[in-house]
Amino acid sequence: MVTSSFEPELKKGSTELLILALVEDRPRHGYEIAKKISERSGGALVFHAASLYPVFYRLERKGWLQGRWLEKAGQRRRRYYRLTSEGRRMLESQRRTWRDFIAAVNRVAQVGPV
Amino acid sequence: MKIDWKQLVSRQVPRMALPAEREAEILEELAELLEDTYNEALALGASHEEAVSRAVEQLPEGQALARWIEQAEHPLAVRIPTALRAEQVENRLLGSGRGLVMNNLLQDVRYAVRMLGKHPGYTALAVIALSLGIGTNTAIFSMSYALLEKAVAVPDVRNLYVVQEYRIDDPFYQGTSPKAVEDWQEQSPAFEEWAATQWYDTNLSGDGTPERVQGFRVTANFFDMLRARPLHGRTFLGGEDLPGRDSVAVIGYGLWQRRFGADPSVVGRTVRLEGRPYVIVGVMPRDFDYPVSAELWMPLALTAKERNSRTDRSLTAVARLKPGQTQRVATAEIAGIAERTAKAYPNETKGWGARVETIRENISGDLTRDYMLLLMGAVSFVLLIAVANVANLQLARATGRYREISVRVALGASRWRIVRQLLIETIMQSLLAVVLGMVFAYWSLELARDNFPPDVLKYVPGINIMRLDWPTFAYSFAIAVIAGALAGLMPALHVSRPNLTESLREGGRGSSVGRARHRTRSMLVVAEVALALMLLVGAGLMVHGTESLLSKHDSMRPDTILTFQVNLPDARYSELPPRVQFFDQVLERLSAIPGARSVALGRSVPFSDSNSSGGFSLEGRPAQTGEARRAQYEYVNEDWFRTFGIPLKEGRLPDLRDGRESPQVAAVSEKLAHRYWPRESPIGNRIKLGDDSAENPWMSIVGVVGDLQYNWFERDPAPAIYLPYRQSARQSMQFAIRAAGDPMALSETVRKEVAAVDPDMPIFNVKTHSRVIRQTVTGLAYVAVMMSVLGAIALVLASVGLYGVMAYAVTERTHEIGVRMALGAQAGDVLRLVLARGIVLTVIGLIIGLVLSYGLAILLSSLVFGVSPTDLATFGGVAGLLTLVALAATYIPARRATHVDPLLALRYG
Repeated sequence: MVTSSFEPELKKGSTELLILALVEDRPRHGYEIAKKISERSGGALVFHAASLYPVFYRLERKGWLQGRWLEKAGQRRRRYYRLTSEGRRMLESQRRTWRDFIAAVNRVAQVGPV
Repeated sequence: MKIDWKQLVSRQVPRMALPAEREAEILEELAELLEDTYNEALALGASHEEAVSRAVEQLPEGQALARWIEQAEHPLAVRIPTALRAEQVENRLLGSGRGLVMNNLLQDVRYAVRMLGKHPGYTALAVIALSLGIGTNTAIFSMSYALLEKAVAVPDVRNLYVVQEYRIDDPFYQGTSPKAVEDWQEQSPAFEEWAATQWYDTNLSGDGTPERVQGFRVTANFFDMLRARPLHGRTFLGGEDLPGRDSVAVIGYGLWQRRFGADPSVVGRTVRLEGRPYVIVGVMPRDFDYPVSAELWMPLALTAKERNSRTDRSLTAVARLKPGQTQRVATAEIAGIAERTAKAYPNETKGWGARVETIRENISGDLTRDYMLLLMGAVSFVLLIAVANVANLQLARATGRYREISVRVALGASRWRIVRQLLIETIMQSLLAVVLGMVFAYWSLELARDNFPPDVLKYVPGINIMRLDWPTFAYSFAIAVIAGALAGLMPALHVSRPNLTESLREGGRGSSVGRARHRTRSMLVVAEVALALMLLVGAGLMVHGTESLLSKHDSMRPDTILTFQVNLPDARYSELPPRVQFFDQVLERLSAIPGARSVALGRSVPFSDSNSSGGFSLEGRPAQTGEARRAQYEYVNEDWFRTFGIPLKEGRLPDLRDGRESPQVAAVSEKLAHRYWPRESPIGNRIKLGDDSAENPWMSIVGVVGDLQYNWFERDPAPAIYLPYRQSARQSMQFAIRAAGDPMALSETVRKEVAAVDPDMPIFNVKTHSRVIRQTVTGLAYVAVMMSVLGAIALVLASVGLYGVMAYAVTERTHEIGVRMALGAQAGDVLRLVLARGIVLTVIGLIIGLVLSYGLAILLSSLVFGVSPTDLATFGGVAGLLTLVALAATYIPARRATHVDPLLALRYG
């Protein structure tokens, strides 16, 4: 693994990782994913929900997410995203990448074990 | 208003280079985002306009977003300039956020404020209910804190202890001899410094009318040991407690204000105390109030003979513990010393023990503590009822909020978030209630202070410093948060249950969730009824008990008796003959007053606070081990029996024949006679005051008289021994004059007649006997009144609660009632249907309440003299009252139910 590959990955990769991780156990709709990110990060990650949508589409195109319209009784239809099997592999690989990255930064910056 | 979100989105986001179908899909999804945002904002209490603008904010840069989406859909079609801007948008993802948790909390608080404002009626009701609970709690807390904790305004009070000798067979009987204090001082290393005080009320004269003031004689180091500084002048110097050098006095703030007009130049002035000149050397600050009720301090100048006494137990020892020592060590040391002394001086110390208690324990007395605990219990009941009421209101309102809450749950709000939101609402109400409660508490404290008779107030330590201070605020704040959380928790848990869609559809009616909520509300009402009943029974028992104490002496018409006290100073009256001469002359003059039917002289009138009692011995019948022979001592004239309606049962009364030269005689009460001579007449037997070793003379019993209760805290009259005053008069005696007309009208004449015998002799405590009785039970009467007020508040709260539940039940069952009426039910049937439910709830509450009340009554009767646990009248009366109020609270909604229009009910129900 080459460290220089981290830089662009850090920006986009972390967003993707967040989204993939959130739909790991069950399908969620876009607004819900946006809320969960801020909720689970304890407010450390705040952003415009709209800017997540392009990432959904990108991940969908890559075949990692699958979007599907679902209709519940008495409600209008919503688009739910679920993790595909390839997405699941990518999630694992991104998690590893992320861990390595953090570990590397820690070693260099002498942050100490996390 | 219906918003076309898709249209709104397509206006914000420019056309994208995508297939029409895909673009429509994306626009729909973004519309979904906006609508979700809008709905959540609404659910959080935002207005329509606010919610729309928050939704629109979700699409900040439509242009950039469109390009970015295009890029995501076609990764190969790179357009450099827009891609850069898209990157900027994306970068926001990584922008670090503010503290979202805090943000959420603020959001919840804002939302709560908005919700409370939206329903002012509901909010007002909840706030008033809570403020009653919080206000009463605050007032009683402040009172307890003043009376129990702050009572002694002495620095470092925690290390101060009172060490006392006490009678083992009667622990209330306490007093310490000078020699005992010396022993402790020498032999107990746990204490670093000792002082002693002696109760010494004294006649103050020399400038203006003679007056009786509450004095104490204290050792010269007393003030220094307490680390108390004077406001003006100085305290005592070392050596000023030696006979001959002791003509100095320190006065208290109250006396300084009252008698000397707060004049600082009073320091250096000479006054007469007990006829002797004393120089005032200092004035103590306002909050220095030790020993309790002290107005004046004089040096305790004991003669060498007095200092060596082991039997003159008139002192109280106060000691300061060494730093690092504990009460346990001190107690062990004192006990050890007592054991050694008992071996060395068996005669002097027989029957006496020694104990160590904190100055606070010693001061605030058992009654104050018990009463305060009782009131604290009562106010917590009021608070619980208020909490149940608010919980009920919240539950009733919950139905109306199901929509709002289900929207939030559907949008992914967690259960905790919903619960927290609802809790914040009730806690906010509770905090609002603190403000109102403080006003209420302030007002109660003022009322409490103003209604305390001043001559009783003097003996209640700490009551002057009772106020709303920081500890009180902290306490109110804490109970407000707890009360708010309690009131909100049950409704919040109910409402936030998952599976809301069902209730959303059904509007909460008839569903299992609805039924559970119903059960909860019924339970809350039952609890309210039970709590209110307990409180009312408690109040009723206290009121009834106080009344029966007050009316105990009604038969002797205390309102027609004038009582007053004289204290003959040592200087001229330390021997019996001058005393007898004084009383003879005064009695003769008073008897000649027109309008005085009888003039009684004795040691203490019934129910006065200066009772005199002690042990006694029977000739030839030494006391068994463990046998406590105690009786009321009275030193009386013949009129004493006539004035207080004490009948002669056998023999004769002590009278004027029984003088100093004649044989010593006494009369005993029936109770005493029956106890020791159950089958024969006691007349001719000999009795003496004190135990067998006492130096008092043997007295022949010449008569047996009826029983009379002298002390309010005894359930039955105690045995009494009556001595003729000519053989026994004390220096402190009380008169009781039965008047033909208004007894107080005699007071001036009485004053003049006493002055005619001795112009330096003040008379004091001039009041009717009924006032004496009332003041003695002031504490009890006071608590009884407070309990009644609390009971009334509880009654109102509980009936409001019941009314709320019944009114709500009627609304809920409108449909059912409509069906019944459509099927032919009459108004009476409907009325019965609704009433029946209210009655069932009330009766369950009453049954539970009565069972608990009985337990409470037993506890109360052990705590409060005069209360009987089997006071059926009170139980019945209170249950009846509560039933009536409950019926009224149920009847109003029930009446409304009979006016249900079946057609309307069926159409809209």
